[in-house]
Amino acid sequence: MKKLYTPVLLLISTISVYAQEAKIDTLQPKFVKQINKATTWLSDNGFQIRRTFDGSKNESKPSGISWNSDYENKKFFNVIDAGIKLSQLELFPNSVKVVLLFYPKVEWHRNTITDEDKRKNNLTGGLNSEFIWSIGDKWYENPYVTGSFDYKKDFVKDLKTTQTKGYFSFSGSKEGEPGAAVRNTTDDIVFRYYPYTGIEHYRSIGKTGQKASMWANRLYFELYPLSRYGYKYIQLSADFTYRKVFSDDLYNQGNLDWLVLSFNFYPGGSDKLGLGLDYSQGEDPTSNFIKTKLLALGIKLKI
Amino acid sequence: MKPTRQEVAAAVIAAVAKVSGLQPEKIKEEYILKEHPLKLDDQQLNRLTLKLRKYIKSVDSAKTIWASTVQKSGQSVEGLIDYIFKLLNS
Repeated sequence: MKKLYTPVLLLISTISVYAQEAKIDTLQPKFVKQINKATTWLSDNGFQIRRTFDGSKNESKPSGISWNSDYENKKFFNVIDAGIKLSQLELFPNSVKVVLLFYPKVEWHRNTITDEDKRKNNLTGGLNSEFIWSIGDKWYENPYVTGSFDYKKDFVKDLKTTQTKGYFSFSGSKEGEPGAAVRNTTDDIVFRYYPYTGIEHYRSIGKTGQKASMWANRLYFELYPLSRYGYKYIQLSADFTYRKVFSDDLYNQGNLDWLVLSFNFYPGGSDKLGLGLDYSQGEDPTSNFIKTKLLALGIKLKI
Repeated sequence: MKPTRQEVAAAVIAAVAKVSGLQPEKIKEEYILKEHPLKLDDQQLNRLTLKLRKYIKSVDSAKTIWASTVQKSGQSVEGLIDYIFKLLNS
């Protein structure tokens, strides 16, 4: 019975917040507006706050603190996933063919699950880069590489690592091309996908200097089946990564899979506030590849 | 020869249309680059920067536009038109 209470309560609380918002003719609670004001100021001054800056489309997800219930284990926990882009340096500002950007970032990923094997608390600092080479309008004439070099401290495993990553993909514009929007009759985006392939290298800091090198292949897609006139009510997304291990004496787990499926319901038609169900399975890359299987329900607050 | 605002608007709208996949006649000046219906992602914004830079340099090779100007929070089609019009007429 308790299983049923949680989603019902979360749904009621989410809808009631929206009902109150409608009365004051806004889609956002006051505190969200204040947070938005602060994040806009940060953005205008070269800062950005997102869920992560790992070189993937997860970067487009805003940072957030969520309150989740782990269905499988009947436990409640909080999650903090936040990354701050501190500033941006652009090289070759006069080039008409390439954009090359560098930016330092810090990230904090933490949950309050009590099980040692699922707990996460790590802090990352590093330098990210984006490089795009545009020689035409076709998708294959717009290849890009996103890369990062990070120092990561995992407080749960007491492990310090350096992580070097580079992902390659293409940027398209027409329906069916990577990153391009498939739109409905009201020009709302209903589907888009992003494929990546890249190399990841992990090295522990210390006397042993264990290392792991992997070939990462990733596919992310998102679907908005009920979007009309800028309002979106349902979001479905899937993010799957297969890591082929070249060499590894650091994690010693063989090839790695990581799948995250998300279902989000936005009662007000805006993704600022909603109810989300996330299912994740495999070796979690944000937690030193701890094997995880988690079904979590929570309020999604996007700022 | 310095461009008129109308000429700059035509160039900016053509660039936004190419990158977003929408028809030029559907692009309105009030549209925000990162919001409905454009919803440009980071790489599409970088490609837009290059297209706008190419146009700017075809008028005045000494001038340019930075990626951060295009990526700025709340940046709109109108904001880009006004920025480039002022840049090329200064």
